[in-house]
Amino acid sequence: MRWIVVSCMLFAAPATWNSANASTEPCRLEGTTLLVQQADRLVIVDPATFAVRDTPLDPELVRRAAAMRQVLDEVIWRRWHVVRTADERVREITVFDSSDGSLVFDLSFSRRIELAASAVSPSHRFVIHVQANNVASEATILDAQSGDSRFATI
Amino acid sequence: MPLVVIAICLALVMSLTHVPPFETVFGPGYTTVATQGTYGIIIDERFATRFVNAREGVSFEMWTPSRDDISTAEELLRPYRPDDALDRRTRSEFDSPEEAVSRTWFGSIVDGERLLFVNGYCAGGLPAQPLIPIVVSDGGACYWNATIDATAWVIITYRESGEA
Repeated sequence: MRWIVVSCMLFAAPATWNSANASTEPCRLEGTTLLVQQADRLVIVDPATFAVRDTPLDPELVRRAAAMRQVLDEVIWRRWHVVRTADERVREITVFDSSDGSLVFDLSFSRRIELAASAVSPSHRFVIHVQANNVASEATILDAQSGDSRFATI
Repeated sequence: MPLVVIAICLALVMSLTHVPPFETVFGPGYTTVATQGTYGIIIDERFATRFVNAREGVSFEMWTPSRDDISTAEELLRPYRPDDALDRRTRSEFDSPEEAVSRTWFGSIVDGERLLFVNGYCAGGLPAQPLIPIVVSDGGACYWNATIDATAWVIITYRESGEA
């Protein structure tokens, strides 16, 4: 069920896609936003209306943030250690407690659920297409003005 | 006499339209801060180390963020948290600023850089023990956290609670 929720484009942070709730709630949860960051741009999509906002990022700041993330990974201890494995048939998520290595939970999804959605931004400049299943999620954003397409595996 | 009547009328009107002031409230080791329509607590540097899980052998110097720091950080977070700011009407439904608290802020110096950490909880309300970190397993999108470079003012990490 988590991946159904994920497929509804609840939220994506750069390089991560977090499922928000293991329930049968509607796709739209209050306050959730699809964020796709690539290179020097941050594209913010409201999943309820598919309104798209394109925000330019300072490449120097993007580099600085990436370097700092690496430092944080080295010095900050995280309570949960998450292992994700996936092949064409099944996706597994295993969570360990970092303090003693004990298993917290182990989930696998053997049924593949496919969802796809497309939308055009209010300015008609961007087209976003999201293809999601319980193995992987992908978002493609086409910039009609420049002809560039941006692709993110989430 | 007319002045007295006017004063009484003004007092009456003000009492009827009174909105809790949401001024800064000090607690032992934390300060409540209201900015950009959101409410949070700033953990004093003496207690902030509790909120950072340093790896074994690693220690951090902590710092206490100012109200201006939080204001700048909220500005950065707005695209990520577009619906968090409370409007005047919602605010008036709370009896005290503590009820509207939805962030815990603390600062740490990592690798020579001033970092601002925030734990967010959309359920709202001052934690019963604000100086004791609470670990939430899952919890959904209502629980999120971010790390901000407080020198360059850039968001380093932003995560919502999800699979773990």
